[in-house]
This record gives sequence, C-alpha cells and structure tokens, in this order.
Amino acid sequence: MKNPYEILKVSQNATKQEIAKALILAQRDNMKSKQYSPQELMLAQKQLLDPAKRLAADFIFPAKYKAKRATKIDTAITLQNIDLSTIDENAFDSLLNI
Amino acid sequence: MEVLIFLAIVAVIGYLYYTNLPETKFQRGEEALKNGQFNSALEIFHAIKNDHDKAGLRIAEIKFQAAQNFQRNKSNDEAISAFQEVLNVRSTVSRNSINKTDFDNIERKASGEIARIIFQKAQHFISDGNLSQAEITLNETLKWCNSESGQVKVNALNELAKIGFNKGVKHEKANNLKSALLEYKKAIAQFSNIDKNELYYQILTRTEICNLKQGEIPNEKNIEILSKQNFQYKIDLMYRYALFLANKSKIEECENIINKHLSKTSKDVQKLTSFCTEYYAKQASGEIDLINANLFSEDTKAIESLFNRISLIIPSIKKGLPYLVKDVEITKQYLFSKLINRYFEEEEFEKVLSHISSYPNFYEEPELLKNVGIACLRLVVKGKIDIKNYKSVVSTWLTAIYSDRVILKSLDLTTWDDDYTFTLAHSIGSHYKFDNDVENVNFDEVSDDNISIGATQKELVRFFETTLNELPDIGLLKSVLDFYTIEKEALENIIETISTELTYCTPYFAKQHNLSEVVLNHLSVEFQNKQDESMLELGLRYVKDGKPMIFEEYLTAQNHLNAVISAIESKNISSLKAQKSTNNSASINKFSKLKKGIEGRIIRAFTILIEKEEENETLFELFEEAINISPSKEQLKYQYSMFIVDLCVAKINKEKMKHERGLSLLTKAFQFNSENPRVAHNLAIVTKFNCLDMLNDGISSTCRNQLQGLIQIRNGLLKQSLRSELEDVLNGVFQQIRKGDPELVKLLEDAVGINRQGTDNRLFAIIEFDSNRATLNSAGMELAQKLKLIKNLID
Repeated sequence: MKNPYEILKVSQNATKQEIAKALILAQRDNMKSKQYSPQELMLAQKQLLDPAKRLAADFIFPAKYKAKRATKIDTAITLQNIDLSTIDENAFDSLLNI
Repeated sequence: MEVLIFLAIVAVIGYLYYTNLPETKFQRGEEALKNGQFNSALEIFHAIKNDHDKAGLRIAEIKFQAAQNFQRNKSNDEAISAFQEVLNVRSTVSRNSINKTDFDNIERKASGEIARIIFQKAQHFISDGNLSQAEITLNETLKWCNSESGQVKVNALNELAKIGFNKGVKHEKANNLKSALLEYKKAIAQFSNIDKNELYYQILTRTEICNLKQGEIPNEKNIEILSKQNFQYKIDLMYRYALFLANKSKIEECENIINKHLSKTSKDVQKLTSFCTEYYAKQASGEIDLINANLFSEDTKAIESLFNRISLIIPSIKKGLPYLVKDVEITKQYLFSKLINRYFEEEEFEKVLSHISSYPNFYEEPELLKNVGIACLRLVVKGKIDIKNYKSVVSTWLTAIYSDRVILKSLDLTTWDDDYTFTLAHSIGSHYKFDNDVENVNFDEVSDDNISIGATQKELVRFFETTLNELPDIGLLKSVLDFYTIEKEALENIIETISTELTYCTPYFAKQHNLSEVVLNHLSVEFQNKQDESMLELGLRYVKDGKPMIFEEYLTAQNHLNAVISAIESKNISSLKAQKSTNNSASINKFSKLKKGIEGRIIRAFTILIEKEEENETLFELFEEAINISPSKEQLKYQYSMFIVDLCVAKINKEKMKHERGLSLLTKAFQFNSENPRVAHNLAIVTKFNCLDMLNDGISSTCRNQLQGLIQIRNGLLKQSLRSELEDVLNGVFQQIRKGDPELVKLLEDAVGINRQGTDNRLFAIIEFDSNRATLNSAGMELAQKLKLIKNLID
C-alpha cells in the first residue's frame, strides 16, 4: 500500500476540495515523472475521499508525532564540600577509658 | 636331741625365710603406714620396691601425702619438690607395670597440684604488677596443666591474654601500633584452646581499631562478627570504620554503619552523614549534567544510550536530588517518544515493537498501542516478518486493531475529520464504553456524515491479511496464517464473551504481558454464570500458569479425553486401559458438555479405524475397553455390534471364519445390541450353520454350550429369528427320519418331544433299537439330543 497523501502531494489535514484539486495537479505532474500509474492516482483520491478509508490511511501513515520540546534540568545545588580529613577520627576514642 | 636341734634349726631358717619374703615386708610397711610411721614405711617399701607390685605405688602415695602436708603449711617450694618426687618414683621402680593406672592417677594429681601452686605464684606476680615474671610463671603453669587442672589452664590462658591485651594497650597508647598489633595477636592466640569471652572480642576490636588507625583495610569478617556483639569500644570501632568506608567512597555501606551503630546526635556523626548526603547529591548532579549535555543529540545511538542510562540512574537521583526525580522522569518520557519517532523515521519497526513493549502497561495507552500496531503493520509490509518475530507481530497487531480506543486515537492527529462524526455501532473492537469527553464519537447508525469505525477497522484487517498472504516463504506463510487464525479467533471470542471492559488481547499477547490472569478470571465468572464450557475451552488458550483452578481441571479432563482418542487412533490397548481410572472419570464428569461429547469423538475415531481395517479382529478389545471408559455407551455399542456383524458376515462368506467363531462373536454382538434386528437375524443364521454342522459333522462341546447358552439370552426378537431359520432344519430332518422304522421313529420323536408326521430311512442307518428294543441305541440318543437342542432354540 502506498501513502495516498504522498501520491496526491497533500497534507494529512487536506479538505475534500483540496483532494479533488490535488488529483488534477498530481496527474499533470505524473505525466512527466511517471512515478505512479493512473490507477494509483485514482485509488489514492478514492481512498482519501472515503472517510472510513482515509481514517485507515491515517492509521497506516500517521502524521509525524510532535513530541514536546525537552528542557535542560537545573540542578542548582549548593554544596558544603565537606572534607573528610576535617572529621575527627578520634571522636569516640576508647583508648582514653582504658 | 639331735632331732630337736635339727627341727630348731629348720624352724629358725624357716622363720628367717618368712620374715624376708616381699609380701611379709610389704605387710610390715602397710602396718607402719597405718601407724603413721612414714619413714619406716618408706624404708620398707624402698627395700622391696623392685620385688613387690605395690611397693612403688605406696612410695608415691607417701610422698604425695608429704607434699600435701607442705602445701597445707604454705611451704610451696617444698610442696613442689615433693610433688616432683612423686613424679620421679616411677623411674626408680622396675616392676610397676601392674599398677600403671594407679601410677598415672597419682602422677596426674601431682602435676595438677604443681600447676595450681605455680599459678598461685603467677597471680602474686600479677597483683604485684610484675607482668613479665607473671607471664613466665603462667607459661610454666601451662607446662604442668593436665586434665586434673583444666580450670587452672583456662585461668592461666586468660591471664596471659589479659597481659597481652594490657601490653598491647600500652603500645597503642604510645602509638606503637605495630607492636600493639603483635601483642593483640599473641593475646588472641591464647583463645585457640578455650572459649571466646568478652576479653576476646575486646582484643579483636582493638586489633581492628589499630588496623583502621594505620589506614589499613580492616578484616571485614571480624567487623561483621563484632557488629553483632555488644561490647566496649564498639562505637569507636564503628565510627572509625564508617570514616574508612567514606574515604573509600563506599557511601552506602558507610550509611548502613551509621544507621545501625552510631548516634546521629553526635556532631562528628552528623558531619559524616552530611558528607554522605553531599556525595549522593554530587553524583546525581553529575548524572544530570550528563543528561543535559546529551539531551539534544540527534544521534539515535546517543539517544538510546541516554534513555537507557536514565532508567539506571533514577535510583541515585532519588537519593541525591529527590526533588529533581520528576524532571528526570519527564526527560525520560521525552526521550522515549523521541526514540519512537526516530525508529519510525529510520524504519526500524522491530525496534519500535521492542521499545514500546518494554514500557510498563503500554497496552493501556491508546497512543502507544496504536504506534506499536503501526510498527507491526509496517514490518509486514516491508517483508520483515520472520520465524522469530511473527508471534509478537501478529498478536500485537491484532490486540491493537481490535481496540476501539486505538482507532479513535488516530482522530487526534488530523483536522479533516472535524465535519464528521464517528460511530462505534459496528466496530469490531472492544465494547468501548462511551465517554462524553470523546468528541465526534457515538453509537448511532452509520450515515454519510457518521462514519463507521468498524469499516476502518475491517479495512485495516483486510489490508494486513492481504499483505500477510503475499509472504514469499510458503513455510513461514503457513505458520503465520495458522497462528493468525488462532489468535484472531480467540480475541474475537473473548470480545464476544466478556461483557466487562478489559484489555482485550490475543492469547500470545496476554501471556507475554501478564494479562492472562485477568482474562481467565473473567472467563471463569462467565462460566460460573452460564455454565458454558466453551468459556473454558477459550480460556485454555490463555492459560499460562494453570490459573484459575477451573481451567486446570478442564485441561486435565480434556487431556484425558485426548489420551483416550489418541490410544484408539494408535490402537494402543495398554494406553487405553491406563486411562480407565476413577480420577479420570471424575475429571470428565465435572464438565457435562465434554462428557456428552466423549462418545461422539470415540465413535468418530472408530469410524476412521474401521474404514481402514474392516476385518481387524484386534479392534474388539479396543472397542470393549472404550465402551467401559465412555460415560454414555449406547451408540458406541451399536457401532461395535454392527462392526462385529459386518466382519462376521464378510469373513464367513469368504470362508475366512469358522461358524463356531461366528456364533461366539455374534452372540457377543447380540449381548451389546440385543434389540437390533440385523444382529438377531445374523446370529440366527450363524446358529443355523452351527446346527447343521452339529447334525452333519458334530461340533465342539464349547460350541454346543454356546448354542445351549442362546436359549438363556434369547429375547422376542432373537426367538423369532431363530424360529424362522431353524424350523426348516428341524422339519427337514424329521421328514427324512419318518421314512424309517415306525417304532424307532416313535422312540426318536418321543426323545426329541415331537409329533410323528413321516419317516426317512436314510437317517435311520445310524440309529437302532437298544438290545431290549425298548429304547434307542447311543447314536439314536445322540441324534435325539441334537434335535432336542434345535427344538429348544425354536420353542
């Protein structure tokens, strides 16, 4: 199955009128390029003019999903930078009690 | 006179001899000992020490008593000498082997006493603070210790350990850690032969504290042991250990030690705790910097790597910067979506499938289920479906496309549909409960402006199936289509059956994503409500771990049924017999539909067998065993009896079966199906054959018994058939008989119990009067009996 939107060179939000006009333009363009057969052009239009089939086409060829733009995460932390060597290793010196 | 002198001399010599005997001397020594004359006794025993067995022992005993006297008088040195003399006695005695045990005892006691006295000396040295002399004396004590002085040994070792500990502490205080460790090591060694006590754990603790002071790695095994003990210096040790772990960046372990053993009220511990917290924060910050640095990368591999890394680092973010977890989750979500788009762009549809499938409960998100469905479709279109992925592809596609929510999700992305409404009236999907917040969707009838979602779904299903059928690999195509049919059928069935909305999915999908239990629970409820076993049949496809129980039971029953059919198909009588058990019957009886279906399935299996092997007599046993097993039997009995009739008729006609065998088999057929005219008719015919055989050539006694037996089992139907077959036989015989001697004929007729109508001379060649002419001869009697049997069969 070819993408009918690509064949007719229309957007996925195209109206019925745009699709009707698009066939004529596509047929004219195709005269030179011969990219598609006349049947493929007709079929693409038929498909897009039938809402149930168009919905199927939308399912198979979904419009590009626009993901939300991500933003950088701000850490913004204040650190004390504790130096281990400043911690008294003899804080609980048991030798003093022996 | 001379005689008297001689006797006097003999008496003197005798007396002298007697008084010089060792035993006599020993008795004297004993007497002296009894009277407290120790020196005399000692002298006597010394004199006979090599001649009397007990003399040496007595010497040792006397010396032991003397030593004890010294001991009592606090003359310890003399006491030690005396006890040592006890120990020397044995070496001076040559014949003491008989009293070895006694000697051992006294020597042990003497040694023990020496040890006790020396230990007392050592205690004096300790109390005087003369530790080096005490140490020497304690070691001396140990030399004399034996089983008699076990406690002395324990005390001496403890004292040595204590001295070692004190020496170690002295070195430790002077910061001579190496020397301290040596002393502690020696002290710990003292405990190799005695129980470990508090002192032991104190020394061990000081050892590990010294190790930590030196910056050396402590013995983790010891730390583990000590962490479970309650003793002095524990806080010191644990604090130093926590500090050590922090220095080695083993922060989690450090925190564990702090939490378990240290008080957070201490400023130093608080500082250490802050260090740990800050460490986590730094680590989390570093991770976030890495995320930020790669967040906008357009390289797919870099995005993948970052996405995978975020999953791994979330726990450390939670620990270090918990307030940023939400932001990190959002970033992860962003990367997840970005990867889906990227995989679609790069046509990496299998990656889309595995990427989305790894997302927890993705099937509950219509957007994700839609995307994964599209990926499956594209995989098929691109011909990238293969033996490894087809099950995932097919099951995921079907699950997606049969979800109404998925199709409705497609409406979100476009605006062309704004003028239309969409109806779920004929959707193939999943009993979608209509929510008011879904725009443009209803359950009204289809019209030009109210578009059928069902039509779209069917269009997509048709497209998928058409594409599947274009697979070039025939083998793969068959596997895929078989699998597709089973999965689709099951999915449609559960959509049809289960009225409560759930995640409707195919069996394979359910098993892959742990949804089986939900489906099975629903089917179980439906079964309870409707008692429809097709719910269980459907559920079997979803069973993964045999839950719930009802499916397990149904499966057991079905397995039993399948085993019965398989045994029939393979004509395996022992396998069939193995299926006959109370448990198996009980398992089937729980399910009425299954139970009803057994007979039909068995009949079908036999029909196929009979078609191939219509004259195979080995099927009889198989049939009879199957009849035993089948809960309902009538049709099966009918089939069996018809099989016997057909087999007998065919074989008898071809003369491949004796009449006697035919009689036996058809009697059996009659017993299984006594109301069937065909069985009765054929049994009557074969009975006739056997009667004729009996009249002409004679038959075996077994066969005659069988004929006789028929009389007992006849019903109306068989009687009628027998009469019509056997009357002619009997009449024919008598027509011949009646031509003979009227007197003989009368006798025969009387014997058979029949009226006279005519005679036949030919048969009378074998019968004659008995010598008295009043009865028949033996041949006549034999004929009469045969005819009587036939007559009884007719009557």
